[in-house]
Amino acid sequence: MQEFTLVVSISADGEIVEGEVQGMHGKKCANVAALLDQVGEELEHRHTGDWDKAEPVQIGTGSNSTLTLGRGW
Amino acid sequence: MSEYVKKNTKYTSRVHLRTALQAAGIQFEEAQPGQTLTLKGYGNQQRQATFAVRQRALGDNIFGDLGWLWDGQTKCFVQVADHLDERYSQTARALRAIKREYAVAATISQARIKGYRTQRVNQPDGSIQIRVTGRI
Repeated sequence: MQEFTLVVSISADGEIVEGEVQGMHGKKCANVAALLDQVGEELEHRHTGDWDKAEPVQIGTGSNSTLTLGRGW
Repeated sequence: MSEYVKKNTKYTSRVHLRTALQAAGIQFEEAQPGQTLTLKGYGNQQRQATFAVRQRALGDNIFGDLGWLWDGQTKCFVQVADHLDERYSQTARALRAIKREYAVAATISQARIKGYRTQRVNQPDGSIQIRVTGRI
């Protein structure tokens, strides 16, 4: 499980809605960004610098603890 | 940041449009499902709409009622008015507020369905920021 923040900015006239996913990378970002699906028509959608970072992998160490591997952490 | 999305607000949900009208403090009428309301325009012209804001509710010197009607082709609610001059300040303010509140309602409802937390911040310039946080 990864914690994320989606920062949504709605313009003063309500016409433009921008969303930025923070604290997460990779394909899960798309699930977060999908929260804006009902807002309206998509004008732009792009991945930014962190998107292709490897997702972290958790490995059990056998002593009730886990080791997390991944460049994004 | 690893994903950026930019959208142009469209009224695709009846529920969110109703919420937006309520949140904007606009007095409105809503047709029963499958029915429409009659809008009155200049010279007694008539149009049909799902949501109606009567001329008196907006206060400006607009020539008739204002409303939104579901358009099955574009799959969104389109604005219906006989004559709408957005230079009238009260009407323009109301339309901006409705659109902002629609975007808020569409965002927050989806976040809540997923069980995420939301925080709304009204900015001094009239824009709105919503922070959605959760785990996935």
